[in-house]
Amino acid sequence: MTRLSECSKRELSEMLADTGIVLDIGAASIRVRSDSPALAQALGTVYGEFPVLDHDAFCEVSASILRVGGARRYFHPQVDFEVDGYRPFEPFPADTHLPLFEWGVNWTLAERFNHCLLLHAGVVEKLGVAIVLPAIPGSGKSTLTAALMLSGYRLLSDEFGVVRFDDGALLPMLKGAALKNASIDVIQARFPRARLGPSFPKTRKGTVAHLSPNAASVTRRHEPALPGLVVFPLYQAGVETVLETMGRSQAFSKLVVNSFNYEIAGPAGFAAACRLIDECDCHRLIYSDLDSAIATIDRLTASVAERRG
Amino acid sequence: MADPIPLRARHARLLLVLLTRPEESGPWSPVEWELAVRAARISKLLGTIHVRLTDAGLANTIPQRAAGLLEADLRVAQHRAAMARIELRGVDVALRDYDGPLLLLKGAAYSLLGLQASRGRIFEDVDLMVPKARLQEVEDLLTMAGWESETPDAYDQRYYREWSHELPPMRFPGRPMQLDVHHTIVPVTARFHLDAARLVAMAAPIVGSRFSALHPAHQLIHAAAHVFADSDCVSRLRDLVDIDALAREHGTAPDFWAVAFAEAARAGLERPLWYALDTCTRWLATPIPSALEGARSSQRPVAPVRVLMRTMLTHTLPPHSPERPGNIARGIAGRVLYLRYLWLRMPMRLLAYHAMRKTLRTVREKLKAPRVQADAD
Repeated sequence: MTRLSECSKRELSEMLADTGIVLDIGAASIRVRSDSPALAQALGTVYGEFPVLDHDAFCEVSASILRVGGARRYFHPQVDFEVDGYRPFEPFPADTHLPLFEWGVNWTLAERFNHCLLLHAGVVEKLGVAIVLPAIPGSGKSTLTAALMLSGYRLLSDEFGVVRFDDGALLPMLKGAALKNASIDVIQARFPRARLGPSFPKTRKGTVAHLSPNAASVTRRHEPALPGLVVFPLYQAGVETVLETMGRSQAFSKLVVNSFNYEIAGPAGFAAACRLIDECDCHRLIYSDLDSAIATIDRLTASVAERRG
Repeated sequence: MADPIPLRARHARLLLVLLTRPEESGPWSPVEWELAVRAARISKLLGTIHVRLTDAGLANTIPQRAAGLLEADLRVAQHRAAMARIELRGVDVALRDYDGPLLLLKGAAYSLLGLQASRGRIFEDVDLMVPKARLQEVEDLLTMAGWESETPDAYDQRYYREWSHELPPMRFPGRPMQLDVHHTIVPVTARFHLDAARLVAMAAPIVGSRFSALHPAHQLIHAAAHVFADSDCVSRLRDLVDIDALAREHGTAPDFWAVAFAEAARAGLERPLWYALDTCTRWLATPIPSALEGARSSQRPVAPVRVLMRTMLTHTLPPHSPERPGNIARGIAGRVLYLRYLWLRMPMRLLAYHAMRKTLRTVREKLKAPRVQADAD
């Protein structure tokens, strides 16, 4: 099957402008259209391992990144995010097309995906154990999630913990992992072979670059994983790694605060959150050194896997 | 055989198939399902469609991914209904010392009455109605209990109070539901002569609550007037589905139709009701007893008006196309129907004054121009 990274720049731009590029990210599919060749190229890098799909697949989100018309385009070009005929956001500067796409699709998924409990969390898996890393922005969640993928874990998602109501399994929602500011350099220094999309300076969150999900994660994007660990990461410059076991009730309340739709999900959301906490060991991980944080999670994962047999 | 679906746009056709003959969705391709789901979401009908397909025993025939999205919005509907009940509990407490009539309108009434129309329906806000003479008292009690007016603009405040049929929308800080307090169900400046006291007199208590609901005939007239006398008729399929559900459920009661036609005639609302029933029967196959044909046809507009209105409504009432939102025919029909709406809503002099104020403000706002700032996460 052809992958996006195998397409030429021209093929990608034509596909993007015509029928759109369909990204099957696991639990959902996204169709994106745009007349921006630069976006085509960025998607080709960040989603390089994803297969090229027929445009007539069922997509949960069908979005466009469109150039804003008018005289403004000559001296301050902008792009708009459009979904189903709506443009819910202020336009972005035209050279921040990929961040607008990523942000807009995340926003749309968070609005729509109410048939699962949606956590604001990174999710990775190893030895059959899914690790949920819920956190508020700025806690180093994306950095740690990215580092884990680059250290041999399967990435399920950098942004969404998608918990299925029936069986509590976590579904992959595989997108580019948004690294910000210093974490871009940290990841590049520690993992020189990591494939990152272009850097976008001057976004509202500073510089953003997206880590490309690796082939192993993309291949297994339709495989759910059973949760075994919930780790609340907190990056603090200069500290020694601290791992604290968390009580169930505290972990529960921290978990649901980090959910997009806990209230909407109603009783099913409550049941899913309870089940997740019951089935997992819950910890708080305060870290500054990535290697030590990874080693800690390795140890926790191995012990859960061993216990499960 | 005539085409059973009277619309041409593909997304609107698919949506009507789901609403009226869902068994025909069996052979749909993934792209057809996707388009239908998008159109249903734009119309806020995903939850309703989930309920209807389930009732028809077709839940298992929906492709899994589409079914997930239907379920997702059903959960939103259930959540909003729960929020509405919380709001009503708050209103109940806030109005402890109020002893006048207290009616629920639309969604809140459908929900407490347990009507079919409420199932899967996504609540936008909670609508109350009290007699005009008690409006100030009710507003004061709600304000003292913590509700706040959502309308900061002084002109808008005046517009609501003098020329509208409701108070400026209120909200209890931090709660998702908006509260609208009405004193009648059509704009007071409109060319209709609805007797609000009659609405109150014919209302009946809702069992198990302190609220009342409009007489079923008035519920139907209100739903019809809401679209065909009090709006530009753009993207109103959801309201049409409400009318259809009310007609089906109340329509089996003896006298219902006779009372509905008589009440509409008394209020000068026979034409909006005619448009509502005409569109519902043709689009949603709403059953109306054939014995009523005589009564209905006497209220029918002349042929050229009828044809023109039907054509324009075909363009405006369904949701916009998710793929091509800027349809020219829809845009033109929408403008014309907007003018019709203004014409129905207010006398010429007030209209001119109101248009001038709105234009001046639009110019002022254009100079400032705030819109939601997206966060690049």
